This record gives sequence, structure tokens and C-alpha cells, in this order.
Amino acid sequence: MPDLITHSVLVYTLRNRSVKSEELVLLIIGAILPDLVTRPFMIIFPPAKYFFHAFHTPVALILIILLISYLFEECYRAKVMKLLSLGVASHLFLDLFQYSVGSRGYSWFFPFSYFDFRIGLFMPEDSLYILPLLMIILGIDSYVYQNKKKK
Amino acid sequence: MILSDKYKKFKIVSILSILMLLGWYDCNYNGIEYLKSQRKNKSWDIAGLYVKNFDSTYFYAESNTDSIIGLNYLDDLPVGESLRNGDLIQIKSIHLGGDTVDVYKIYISRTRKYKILLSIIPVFIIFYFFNKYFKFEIAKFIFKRRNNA
Repeated sequence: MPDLITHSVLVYTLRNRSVKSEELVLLIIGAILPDLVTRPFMIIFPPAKYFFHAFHTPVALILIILLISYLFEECYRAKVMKLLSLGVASHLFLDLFQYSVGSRGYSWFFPFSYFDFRIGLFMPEDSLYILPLLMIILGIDSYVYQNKKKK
Repeated sequence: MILSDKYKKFKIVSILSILMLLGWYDCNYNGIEYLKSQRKNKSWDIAGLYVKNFDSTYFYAESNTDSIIGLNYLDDLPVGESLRNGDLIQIKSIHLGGDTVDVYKIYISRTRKYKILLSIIPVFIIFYFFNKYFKFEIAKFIFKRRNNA
């Protein structure tokens, strides 16, 4: 996985500009959700890593999104689901480009198959080296967007 | 229909149960089976190994489930890199016998801890903003949008 700053910045810069602030928050939560529901537990309880590995798969993530949406008002649930799903899709899309030497992969069709497909353009930690560039892009994006909003 | 409040508790319990089953299934039928199948293969691809000891001819590394003695690794290290005790590595290797492997690809994840530390920052920022725009109503057990958001 790339770091969560990379995931957040990607979805922040590629978002639809008409999205409201509270919707943007949900979109970014979606973008970090797959790692949020797996990595802390995998780091704290390494023997249970295969249990939590299942939650980084599309089927489990759909269920987790559905579960989270029940924590919101009924009239807002469809929107929560949509925003979280878009965020999660951006996360999985970025993970698709990651290469790993010896890991088991992402099991896109779990639990039906353990088939793993990755384009493999960068290693898990490589995203750290492009962070300064991402920060510059984020700064320019925020500056331009705020100026447009004022006009 | 699926997002309505009707049978909400039943739906939540069902989803949680399915998630637990998926986790259990992955843990038992992929985690353990995967490790067993790895042992049967000629090629051993292993991640999450921590280097405990090494010299120019071999390294000894351990994970939660494996311990490996890797041979002939020097030529496979990235240019200018060398192993250090405590390094987190991923390897592709050919099994020679016992726990000994002939390494043909090795990747050192030396910046992983920085990645984890940096990843905490957006979590705090996002939850600050989440709290700014949403409030939790304990009685109904739901998040509501704040009126001033």
C-alpha cells in the first residue's frame, strides 16, 4: 500500500469540485478506509494478519461501507455509500499499481478466488519519495481553487 | 430497501457475521494453506522477514511464521545497499532444503516505519474534520450533520 497521505491527496485533487466539505471528508475516509480497517490490527496483532487481510478485499469493503452507512441518518445513507465507495475505489486503483516481491497480494475476487493482479509500477515504500511533489501539487491545487472560489 | 431503517439491527448483525466469517475463512483456508503451499513449492516468496543475523554468504531472517536461511544474496541486493540486523525484507527464492533457500530477489523495506508514522497524520486530520461536520447522537446511535457545517 502507498502511504495514507498519498491516498488522501490523490482523491482530494481528483475530486469533483462541486463536492461539499462534509462530503469531501467522507470521500477521503473512503480513500483511507481499506488500510484503516486492516493495517493497525495487522501491526498490533501480527498472528491475526490473515484474518484482517480479508477486509482489504472488494467484497469485504462493500460490506464495511454498508455497515458504516448504517451509522448515518437514513436519508443520507445512499450518499455516504456512494462517497465511501468512490474513495475505496480510488484506494484499490492506486494499490493496483504497487509491486511486491513476496507478499500474497490483494485477492481481488476473494472469497471466490485468490487471483491477484497488479500492474507493479512501484514498491510499497516508493510513495514516500514522491510525497514532496504531492505536497506541492496539493498546495497549488488549494491555492487555485480558493482563488476561483473568491471570484 | 437495503439502506432503510427496517430490520436495521438484524442487517448490522448479519453484515458483522459475514465479515467475521470472511476473516475466519481467509485465516484458516488461505493463511495456513498458503503457508503450507509455499512450503511445497520449489519457489519460496516470503514477505515480512526480519534479518536477525548475516554475513557475506548467508542471512538468517524470521517472521511470525517462518525462519529462513538465505544464501547467495549479495548479488541480488540493490546497488549500494547492504543488509543490517533488524531490516524488514521480502524475498523471492528457490528452496534448497530445510529452511535454506537460494535467494534470487531481495527487497529491503527500510522506510516502512516512516510510512506508518506519516500515515497517521491524515487520519487525525480527517477525524478532526469529521468531528467538525458530524456529531454523534448516542440515543439513536447515528452520526448527524451539524447544522453549522
